[in-house]
Amino acid sequence: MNKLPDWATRPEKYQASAKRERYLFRSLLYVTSLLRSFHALREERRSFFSPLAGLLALLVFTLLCALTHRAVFLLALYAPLLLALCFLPAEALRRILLSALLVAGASLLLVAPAVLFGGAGLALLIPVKALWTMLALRLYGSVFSWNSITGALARLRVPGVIIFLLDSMLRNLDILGRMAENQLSALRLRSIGIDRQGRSLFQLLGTLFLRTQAFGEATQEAMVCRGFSGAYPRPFSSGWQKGDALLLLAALLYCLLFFQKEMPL
Amino acid sequence: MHIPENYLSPSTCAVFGAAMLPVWWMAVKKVKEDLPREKIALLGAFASFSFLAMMFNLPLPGGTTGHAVGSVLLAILFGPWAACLAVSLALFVQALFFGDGGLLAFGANAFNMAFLMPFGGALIYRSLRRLLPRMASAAIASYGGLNLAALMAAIEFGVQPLLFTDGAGHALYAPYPLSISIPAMMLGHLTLFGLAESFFTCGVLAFLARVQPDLVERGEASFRGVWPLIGALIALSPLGLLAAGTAWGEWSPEEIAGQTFSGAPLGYTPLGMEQGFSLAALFPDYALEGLSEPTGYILSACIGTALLVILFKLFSSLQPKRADYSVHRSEA
Repeated sequence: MNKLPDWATRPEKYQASAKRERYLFRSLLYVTSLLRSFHALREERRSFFSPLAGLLALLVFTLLCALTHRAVFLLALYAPLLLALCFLPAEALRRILLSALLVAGASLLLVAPAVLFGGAGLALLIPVKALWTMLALRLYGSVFSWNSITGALARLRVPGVIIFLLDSMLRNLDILGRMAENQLSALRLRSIGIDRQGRSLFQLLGTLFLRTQAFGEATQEAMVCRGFSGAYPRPFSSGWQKGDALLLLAALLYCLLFFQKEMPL
Repeated sequence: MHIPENYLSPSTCAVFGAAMLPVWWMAVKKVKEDLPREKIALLGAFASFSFLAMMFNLPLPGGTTGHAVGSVLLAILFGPWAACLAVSLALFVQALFFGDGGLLAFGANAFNMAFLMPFGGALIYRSLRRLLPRMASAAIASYGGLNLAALMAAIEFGVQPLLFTDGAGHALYAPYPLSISIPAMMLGHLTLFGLAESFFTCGVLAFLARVQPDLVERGEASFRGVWPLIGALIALSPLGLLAAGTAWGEWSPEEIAGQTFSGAPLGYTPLGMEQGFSLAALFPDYALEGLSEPTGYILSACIGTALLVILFKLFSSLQPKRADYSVHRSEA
C-alpha cells in the first residue's frame, strides 16, 4: 500500500475566530461594490432631455446652488430636483438618496463646530448645498450613459484628453470592479476551513495591479491599430430633444430669480 | 378643514393621535399585504393628487374658503386602507413643511380626512355601486365623505368651549360652541365644497377611465396619464390664491378676536392660542419668503408632490418583489 505524503497526513491547525474574513469581505468587498457601481453608468434610461441640455442645466443649477447664500433660493432649487427624482425607479432612487444623505451628513459633521459656536445661519446651508449637489450629480449619472455624457462633453468643446482620461478610467474601474468581485467570490469558495485573509488580500490587489497594466497596454495597442489619437469627434446630429427647451427655460428663469434675489438693483 | 395648531386642547389632540395609531398600523400592514410594489409607488402619485386638491381654495360669500380633499377618490381606486395611509402622509407633509394644519392636531386632522372620509366614502360607494353607475356612485360617495369629515371637524371645534374655559369663562381653545360651529362648517361643505369634491373625484375618475382603464376597471398599476394630470394641477395651483379670506376655523391668533360669528366680535384671543405650541414651517401657507405668491405656490406644489411620490417609492422599494402568476393562469 502506498504511503500518503507528509503534507496530506499533517493535521489542520485551523481555529475559527470571530474576526475571520471580516476585514476582507467587509472592506474590500465594499470597495469593489463601489467600483461595480460604475457599471450602472453604462445603462441609459429613457429621458425627455438630451445629455447636452441636461449637462448645461446641471452646470447652471450647480453654479447657482454654490453661489447663493439665501435659504429661500436654495429651497426653491430643490423643487425641480425633487420632481426629477420622482421619475426614477424606486431602487435607483433609494441608492441615490442614501449616498447623498451620507455626504450631507458628513458635511453636517464638518460644519457642526461652526453651527455650535458661531450660530446656525449660513453654515447650515453647506450640508443643504452638498445634499442638492450630490442628488443632482447622481441623478444625471443615473439617467445618462457614459457614452452619451462623453458626447455631451465633446459638444461643449471639453479637450479630448480630459474626456479620454475620464472615459478610460471609468471603463477600467468597471472591468476591475467586476474582476475583483469574481476573485473575492472564488477566494471565499476556496478558503473553507483555512484563514489566510492577510496574504490573500495582497495577492488579490497585486493581481489587480498586474491586470491594470495589461489593460493599459491592450488599450494602447488598440488605439494604434485603429489610428485613434484620443480626440473625440463631435457627433453630427444636433441631439436636441423636445423637453430641452423646457429644461433650459427653467434654468434661465432660475438665473433671473437668482439675480433678482441676490443682486437687486 | 385643516384644524390649525392650538384650536384643540392638547388632551383632545392626544386622544385623536392615540385613536389613529392602531389605524395607521393596520393601514401599513394592509398596504404591505395587499398592494404590489408597483401599485404602492402609484399610490404616492395619487397622494399628491390629494395634496394638490387641498391647495385649490374655493371662496364662499362671506369671506370664508374651503377645498376638496380627494380621499374618496383614493379609496375607490386603491381601497380605504391605502387611502388612509396616503392622505395621512399628505396631511403630515402639509403640517410639517407648509404649516397647513397643526402638528399637534395632526391626529385629529387624519381622523377626519384620512380615516372617516375614505372609509365613509368607500362604504357609500360600495352600497350605491349595485344600484347606480360608477360616476353617480362616486359623486355621492365623495360628497358624503367630505361632509362626514366636515361634521366631525365641526364637533371637535364645538366641544372645546364646553370643556376648556378660563376663570373668566373665556374659551381656552376654539371659541365657538356646537350651535355655531356645526352650521358654519356645514353650510360651505353641504353646498360648494361638497360639489367641488364630487367634481374633482368624478373628473379624475373620468380622465383615468379614458386614458388608463386598467387601473379603474381592474386596479392594475400604471403611471400612464398620471404625470400630465399632476403637471396640470401643479401649473393651475395658483388659482387657489384667488380665494381671498380664511377658511372657517383656520384664523390666525391675530384674526380670531375680530370674528363675528356669535353676532358680535369675539373680543379676545383664547389663552391656549396665545401661549400654545407653535413650530415655524419651512414654507408657511405655501409661500416662500421674498418670492411672489404664485411662484411660491407652484414651488410648494412641486416640493409637496415630489416628497409624497418619493416617500411612497422608497416605501415600495422596501417591499419584496412578488411573482405574478395571474398571467400564466389566464393564458393556461
